[in-house]
Amino acid sequence: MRYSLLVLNLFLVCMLGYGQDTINSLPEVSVSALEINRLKTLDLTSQTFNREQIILTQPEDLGVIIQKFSGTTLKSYGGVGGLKTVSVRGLGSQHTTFIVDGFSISNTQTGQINLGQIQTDNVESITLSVGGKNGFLLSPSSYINGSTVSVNTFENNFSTDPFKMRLSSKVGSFGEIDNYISLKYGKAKMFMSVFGKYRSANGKYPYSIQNGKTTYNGIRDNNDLVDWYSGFTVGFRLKKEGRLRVICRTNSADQGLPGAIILYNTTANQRLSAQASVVNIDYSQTYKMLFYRLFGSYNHDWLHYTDPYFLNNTGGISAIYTNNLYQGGISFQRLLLNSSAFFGGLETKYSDLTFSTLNTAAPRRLHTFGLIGLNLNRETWKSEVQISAQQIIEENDQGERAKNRLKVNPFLSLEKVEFGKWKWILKAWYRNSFRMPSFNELYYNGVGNTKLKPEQAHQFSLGISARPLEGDSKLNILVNGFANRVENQILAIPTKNLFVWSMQNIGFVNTFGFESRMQINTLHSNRLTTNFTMNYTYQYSVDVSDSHSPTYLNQVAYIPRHIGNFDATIQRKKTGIHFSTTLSSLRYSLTENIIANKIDGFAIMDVSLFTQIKLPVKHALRIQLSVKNIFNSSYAYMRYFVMPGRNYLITLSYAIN
Amino acid sequence: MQSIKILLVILLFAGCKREQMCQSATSPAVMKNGMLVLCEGLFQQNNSTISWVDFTSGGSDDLFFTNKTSRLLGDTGNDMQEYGGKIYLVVNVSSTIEVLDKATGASIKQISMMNGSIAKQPRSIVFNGSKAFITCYDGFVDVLDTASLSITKRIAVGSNPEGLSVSNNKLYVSNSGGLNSPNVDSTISVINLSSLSEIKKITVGKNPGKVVTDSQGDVYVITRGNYSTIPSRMVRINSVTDLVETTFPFEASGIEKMGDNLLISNYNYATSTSNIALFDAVSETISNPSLIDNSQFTTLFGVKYRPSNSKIYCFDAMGFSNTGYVRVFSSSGVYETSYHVGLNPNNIVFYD
Repeated sequence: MRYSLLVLNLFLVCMLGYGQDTINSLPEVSVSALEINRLKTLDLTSQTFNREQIILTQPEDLGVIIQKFSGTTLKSYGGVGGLKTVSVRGLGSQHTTFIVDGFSISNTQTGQINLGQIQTDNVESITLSVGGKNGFLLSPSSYINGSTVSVNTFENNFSTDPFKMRLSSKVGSFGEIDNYISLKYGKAKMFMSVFGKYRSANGKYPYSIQNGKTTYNGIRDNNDLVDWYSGFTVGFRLKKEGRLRVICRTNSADQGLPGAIILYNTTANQRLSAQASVVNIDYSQTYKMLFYRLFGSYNHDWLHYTDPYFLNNTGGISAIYTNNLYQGGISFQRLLLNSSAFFGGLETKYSDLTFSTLNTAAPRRLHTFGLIGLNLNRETWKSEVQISAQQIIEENDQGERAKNRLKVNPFLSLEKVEFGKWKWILKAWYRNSFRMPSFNELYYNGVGNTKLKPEQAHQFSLGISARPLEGDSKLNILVNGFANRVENQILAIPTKNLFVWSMQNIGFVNTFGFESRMQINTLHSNRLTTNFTMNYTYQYSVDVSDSHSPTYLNQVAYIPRHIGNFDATIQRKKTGIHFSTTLSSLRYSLTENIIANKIDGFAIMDVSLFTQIKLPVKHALRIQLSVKNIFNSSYAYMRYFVMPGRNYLITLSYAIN
Repeated sequence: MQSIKILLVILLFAGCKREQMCQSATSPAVMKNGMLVLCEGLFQQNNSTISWVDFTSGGSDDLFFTNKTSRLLGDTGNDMQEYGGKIYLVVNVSSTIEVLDKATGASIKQISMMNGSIAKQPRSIVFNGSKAFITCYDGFVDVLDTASLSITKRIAVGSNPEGLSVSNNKLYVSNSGGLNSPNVDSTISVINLSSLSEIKKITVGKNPGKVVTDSQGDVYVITRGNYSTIPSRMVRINSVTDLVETTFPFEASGIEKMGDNLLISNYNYATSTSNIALFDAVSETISNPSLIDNSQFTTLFGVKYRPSNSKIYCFDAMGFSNTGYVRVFSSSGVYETSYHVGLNPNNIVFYD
């Protein structure tokens, strides 16, 4: 164990404080009759949940809701605010870009976002797109990664309504308390909003694990969380349809880190404090057929990790990490004839990282993105071509630096638009992308490797979508086949001794699979509606690094071969019941596919009852009771990070629209 | 609701992959003609195991400990030694000492190695008379009474003690200081076995680990350096003078006593290459620089010599994240056979 305790724990927890520079919120209360039904055939490259669907699920955070999209695999370490990441179609989580209200959120220290600390209360919509440009006038970096998650929130959208309010209060199992308020004031020429949120939980949930032929029952310890969020936004409508927004947010959090459950040794003393501040500014304008947007932002993240019982000579660990990120650029779109468009942009990100202890590196990175693309739209087909170029310049004030990089990546798609009686859509696309190693992977003391190359990804996809039924009963179906290849996969292997693992480009992974979706929405008599959504993803994601290795053609660790979701809502007027089920087949904790590495599959069902109380126009009061993991199943995404059993959440929310 | 759950589970597991089995032999009620192999597993996975290997059939049972005790061994089993008809297992992250009956494998006692709410994190064990001595990463050597199986004393040493060995009525303990990296320790604590207290610290070189006593009573220590600019070395201590007499100019990661010789193993993590040299501990020179060469291993993780048949048993960790092998060689280094075992094998107890 030795040094590993230090390195592995720090490496893991370095993620935890990040990503919380996003949003908070609360559901808008008016649940309109579940309009999951699309008026068009399901899009083959993007999936969207609107506010109503998010409210029904009552997710703890963004990770839980993204898990409901087909093609995604969640990794969760459990607990409120605990680490959650998501991979899409078998690619690593660092291949996904996160956008909030048009601004990308990223963390150069870890290269990924902790979805456990992005809350969903105020989310108006969330879209996952894999292949193709998603969103309008987003930053160029939003369009060129393996996949993109884009979130729109209540606070940061222009509004002309004089006054809007969101208020919610939640009480749940394991000491969970969650209060949120947001106020929004709007006029013809401007809007402003302000919000605050407090959340806490003791996280002391009971669990059971199998210890050989016996069952061990325990209570999760050192799993508490307190966090605060606040922010304000102001926006102005200027001449010639110009729009200016200034968004400021800050949050702080303090949490225990329970770690993996270790047999016979349940001590856990590590803690993490985090503070994050964000300022976003953008200005968008229309000039004849040209739309453009200037944007800039500053992110400051501060993390303090402590382990008072770490067995070193200084009486434990107290380590501070400070990560700054400045970004800015321009994005444009020029409409052409026949609804075609020419688009592109330029963006620069500058970031640095400071370690207080245990590391002598002081890395800085200048990452510049350039993008041009063309959407050609015709009556029966559409196509999109993108070329992106990225330059990465690395500096390290205290030691060896990573090599500078210049990369050019293409994207191509061709789509046959709605045709035939069932309004078929066919789409094929190819994307070549890469992800840069994070500062931790390059520079972290004992783990980092400055020789790392970017991890390359090739993605092919061919899909078909249709809506065979319309009218009172609507049916949408979709199937996307995909084939991906990851080259120079960045993996940790022991390079100094068994306990000091370092990052190397040693892996090659092939993934073949498909994702399928079906939605059935029916309007019955007596204002009764039923909605069923199902998705299933198959991913044969295997190691092809070395044909002589015992893991050759074995399923990659923590990528289940089968994943599914089944959701059903039955609603009459404003009252109803919602079932949400998540399924995963077995996974392996290491890539050698043997019983010893097996983590059991699971099927988890949540059930919610909800009703909306009639109030004067524009006012809405909603009550929802959710029972999560109703069968009290013992399950885990990650080995020995057991998730909570049956638990309860009561949500009271009030809105003025 | 129950029917829904059953349906979901049926749907879920339809089409799951057939898996390799990890049991090709059954652990017998009374063991003989075989070996127990401790496989330490990986950190935070609770997957330390013991494989029973039957020499007659060549089969193995990787679930030996669970089959004998109905529970799991825990996290990071770091050492296994036999003494007085018992087997002692040192489980580092779980912070336990497991004591088994050698003949049957039945559990005699699980000793929790906690100091209040702080895990002592035991690493290695040796024996002398009626006592066992256990290095604990919190800076102590714990003294275990082998009759009562209770800790009777804690002897303060240096930081993060690792290996230990007995010579000349003294205990030599390597203070690795590994948890202070890069400011590691460089000393050996010498403990008088009569007074059970530290009498001296000897500076040997950075990050000392394995400690072995040869047939002459000399104490050999591996200093692991810093894995980059400071290379590993083997150091010889005279147990009469308690002075360092020789620092040998070659890299080494392990030492195993073989009669009057030492087997010096080395795995180079940077190049993934392995080597076992034969060292004459009487003349104190390398007598065969490549007794067993790199072509025999994927990842050499340690060596064990079996005096009763004069064979060399080598641990191949197969890249550290795959189940490993014990590869058997004659004393002249000729390959004979391999046995498939668990994840990261690191020690053996033999049964004749």
